[in-house]
Amino acid sequence: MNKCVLIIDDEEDVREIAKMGLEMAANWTVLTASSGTEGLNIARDKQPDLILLDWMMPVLNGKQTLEKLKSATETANIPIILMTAKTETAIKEHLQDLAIVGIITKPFRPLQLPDRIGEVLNNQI
Amino acid sequence: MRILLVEDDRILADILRKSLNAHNYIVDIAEDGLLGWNYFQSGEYELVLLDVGLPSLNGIGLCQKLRAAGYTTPVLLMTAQDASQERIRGLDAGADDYLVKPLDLDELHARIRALSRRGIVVPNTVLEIHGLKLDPSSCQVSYLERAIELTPKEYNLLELFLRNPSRVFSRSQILDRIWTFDDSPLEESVKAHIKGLRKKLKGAGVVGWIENVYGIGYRLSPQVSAAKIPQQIAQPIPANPSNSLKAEFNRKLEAMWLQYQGLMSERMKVLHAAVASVERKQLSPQLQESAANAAHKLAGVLGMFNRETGTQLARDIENLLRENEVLFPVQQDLFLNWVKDLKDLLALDPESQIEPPDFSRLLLIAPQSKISEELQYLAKGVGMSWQRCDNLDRATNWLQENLPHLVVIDLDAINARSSSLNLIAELASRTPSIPILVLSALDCLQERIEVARWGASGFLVKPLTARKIWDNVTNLIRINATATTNILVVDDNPMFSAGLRLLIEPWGIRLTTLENPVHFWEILRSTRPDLLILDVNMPEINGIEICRAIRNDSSWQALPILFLTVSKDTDTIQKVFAAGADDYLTKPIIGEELLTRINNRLKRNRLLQTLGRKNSS
Repeated sequence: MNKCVLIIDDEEDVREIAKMGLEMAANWTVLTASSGTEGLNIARDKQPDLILLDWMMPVLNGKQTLEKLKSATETANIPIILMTAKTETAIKEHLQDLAIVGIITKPFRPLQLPDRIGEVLNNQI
Repeated sequence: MRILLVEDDRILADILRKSLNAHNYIVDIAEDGLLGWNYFQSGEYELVLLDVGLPSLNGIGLCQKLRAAGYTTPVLLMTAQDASQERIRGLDAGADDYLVKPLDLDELHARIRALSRRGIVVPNTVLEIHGLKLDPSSCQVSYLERAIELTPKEYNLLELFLRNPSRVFSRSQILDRIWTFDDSPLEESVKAHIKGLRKKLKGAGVVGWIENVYGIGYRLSPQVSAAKIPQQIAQPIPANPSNSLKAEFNRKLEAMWLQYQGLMSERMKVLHAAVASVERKQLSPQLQESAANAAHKLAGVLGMFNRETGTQLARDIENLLRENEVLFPVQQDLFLNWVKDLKDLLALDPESQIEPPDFSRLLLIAPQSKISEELQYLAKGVGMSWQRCDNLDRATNWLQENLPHLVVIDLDAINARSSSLNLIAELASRTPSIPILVLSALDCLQERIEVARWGASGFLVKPLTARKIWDNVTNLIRINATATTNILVVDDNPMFSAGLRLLIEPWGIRLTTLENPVHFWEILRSTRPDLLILDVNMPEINGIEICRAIRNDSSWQALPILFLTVSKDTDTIQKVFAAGADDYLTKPIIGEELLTRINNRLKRNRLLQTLGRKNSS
């Protein structure tokens, strides 16, 4: 079965490009959410194999979304990869404290996104 | 430039090193001949400065060894004043030139410059590409005659790129060429120096010239007024055409880029607001924060759209805004420059952000009315549309940017008779001329004569119905179409069509663009093009199907058809020709090539038509 990935990002173009890259390069099923709240609902209902989470979002930011995902039993076991821009060094310093499997830096090459995800997941194991 | 100095006299070696360093040369010193040989084999030198009397292996022996091993690197010998035999032997051994001790340092530098340009045909030693100049004799760098201050390493980097334009250098190759063994840094510091160089070049208006070649390294890639031309034509997307997935992806990506222009300009708007505040010297911390966030978002997304330079610039802007609570004047200037660079680089069309690009190509100068609405409806029925302006100023502005097929002007409703007549005269005298249909309440011969004298092509007396006006419009377009060269372009990417328009219309060729082929036949009949350009891949009906349908219709069999394709695979090309195409071009389009192909096709077609007429008479 195809992998199902949920992208949570408030920027429409980022969501759409990432979705296009994943669909075209790996034929994955991609769900998208434009806010942390929407992402929580979709994650609960659809149980994706993986979540790509933007760090800098308004209202419910990446950190808060991450905490909520991890504290709800239905979504606690879904692996989460953070998407951040290079300058957010603050996160990298606290990487081990966060319940994520890794980080993908923006901008990424959309067609290489499946490979990047693969690398992140392998490093985890 | 990296020089190997082989000299056993430490004092002299030291003096030479200092003098050479002062001219931004990188110098390694070997104290004997064998050491010199070892250094030479492990480093990348562009010149060897060689003393003759050396321990272990003398200069002449080393020179012979170099030449015997096939090295052609220039060798400059340093010999004693009275040693003419030495000089002869040295030159015979393959040295390129010699200097007599005690050395005259000015002469030394002149000889080095002369040797360094050996093999390159340049009238002088100044390296210049598109206005970016580097003068090795004065170590000065300038762009469009404005001096750029560089650190020695940045200077070395730039010199390397200018001496080897379009060559890609990996970080380790750069390390080999512009660092000595003693201070060999990490590859990371190459990155830092490149960044510094880019920043300084950017400050002088040289934006995006040092390109990251993904996974390989860096190269010089002069961006000549690229900002003004739509991306697709100015900068070929680095796609591997054999990789159809990538090509397909890039095509979709460009479409997305257009789709999200509004989002991009929202982000830019915040930066522009910050620029305006900086100029008024009142940037608030809140706005600074918002601007940093906007830059952050741009940095994150531009690279995904194949706009790495944009990401770099946006990242610099973000860092500048985040790292400095208050911007000093120098930083303010940087900020203003970078935002401007980013704006130029993205070349977002301010008009297109409000509404989709306007290809309506019919201009109605009249107030809003029921008739104007009906006219719009009639035009839409054949895939055209009207741009309506309710006064002359707006119409004049619109006409500066657009070339309509036809202009309709309501003389009585526009309360400026003499200016209206002047506009009519101006449009009629353009190349190609624009037909003008005048609507007037005055039904007298005098009025008709006057309007015709100013250059109008049609005259209609009110009261009128929209249908009547529309019939006259289509008739005039048809008549006019036969007098000028018309090209019809069917391509689903409006940005591409806009780029073509910029390229082609200055040549007096009229372009009709069609994004959606649904109304293709109506447009084909009403514009009667001399040449048709079709995109192969379009969402609803593809170009090959359209081409086949055209060739099936006897009235269009002679119409030259040129295909645009992103893929060069033989299968597509065969299909294109089998469908009846005359020629094809691969995207991204090179402007000159396109014009040549168009002209060839048109010439050939005219010739065939003339021959056809001769045969039938």
